[in-house]
Amino acid sequence: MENKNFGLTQADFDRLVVDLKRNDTFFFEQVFTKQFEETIVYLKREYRADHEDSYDAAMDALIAFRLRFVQGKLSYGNLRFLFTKMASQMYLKSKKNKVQTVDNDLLVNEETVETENREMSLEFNKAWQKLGEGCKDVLTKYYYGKMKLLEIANELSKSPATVRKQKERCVKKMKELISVEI
Amino acid sequence: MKKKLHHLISEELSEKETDEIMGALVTQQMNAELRQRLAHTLKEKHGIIRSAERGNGKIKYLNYMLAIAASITVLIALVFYPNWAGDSPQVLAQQYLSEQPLSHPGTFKGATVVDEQRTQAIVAFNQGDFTKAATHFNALEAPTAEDRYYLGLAYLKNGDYEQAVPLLVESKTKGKRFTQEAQWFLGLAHLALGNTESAINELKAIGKDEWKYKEAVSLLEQIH
Repeated sequence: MENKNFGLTQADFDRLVVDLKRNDTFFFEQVFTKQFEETIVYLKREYRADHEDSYDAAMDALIAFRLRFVQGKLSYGNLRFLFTKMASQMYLKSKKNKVQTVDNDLLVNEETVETENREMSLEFNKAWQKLGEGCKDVLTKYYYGKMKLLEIANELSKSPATVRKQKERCVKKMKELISVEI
Repeated sequence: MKKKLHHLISEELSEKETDEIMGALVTQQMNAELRQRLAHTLKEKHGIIRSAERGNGKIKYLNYMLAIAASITVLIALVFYPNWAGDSPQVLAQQYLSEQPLSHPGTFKGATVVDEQRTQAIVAFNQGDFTKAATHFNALEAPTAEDRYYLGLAYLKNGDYEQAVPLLVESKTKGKRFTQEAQWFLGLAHLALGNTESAINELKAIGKDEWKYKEAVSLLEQIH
């Protein structure tokens, strides 16, 4: 069973979910980067994909996997199969996009679309770097870790109302910082 | 993306709408940071790199073309002049440099200083446009040790060995972060400049447990 789950036990799996909700990706990085090469080899063999496309698809699958973990959409079972399947889907999707781009003779080419999807906004990034660590922590847990305000409140030993207020203040602060940047 | 930012700050949004936009932006930001960390771990711990970053137009295949051209040149030279490679340390250095894929891992998590010049330098570096990368790294008002190291590499990949040497010496001697990499590249830079003795000293200084030890030993054997 553990072999089907990248060597993770059920307890490891549960810990991974908790870590990711707090945006602690250390364990996630350790476990999944080990599988990266295997996935690249699989994509190259099955789809005759080139190295860069395989790398991108495996990376996209990792990002999508993290989201499913924090959303509670993955269960302990056969993560290896799911991950390979997801990387395959990512690869096929990128190929489909490429074909559509050519067929439709769009002005926005595939490279631009990829860049927009995969990279951060420069203005948002600048604003984000100026935000206080406390705000970053709350916003990251809420928006990226999909934690409920109650969960964050319990973790920070604060009342939910305090955390809600803090989140509102942080969003307001972020809006102010963004308005300076754009 | 800019539309989203303008929408977020300019209109009276409901809490739900604000959450949707902020959620998308925070996710994009954190995903970009996660990608950088993953790419760094893949490179450092598993030796897996994406190779040349996708560029637009001709530059997309520039690194491959240069590597192929360098390999063909070496092959022809070896066929017609069997002793040529052994007698030309400069060619050996250039060969190692052309075969060495280099990419900048990007700004690490925790970096607080954001500079547009730095962003452009990193993008250019990863696209293989080392002239542009050097220009942007040089334009930084307060370059970090990391910036200085990558500026040195940009010069090196561009063939500006004389300008690369002092920067690599700096990276080797100041701090520990880039010492091993700088040691190896400094050896190659000296070799490319024809400073064989300095190159040998640098290559010999690479320890058994250090980066590129095997390559350094092999290179030393070829030089002698």
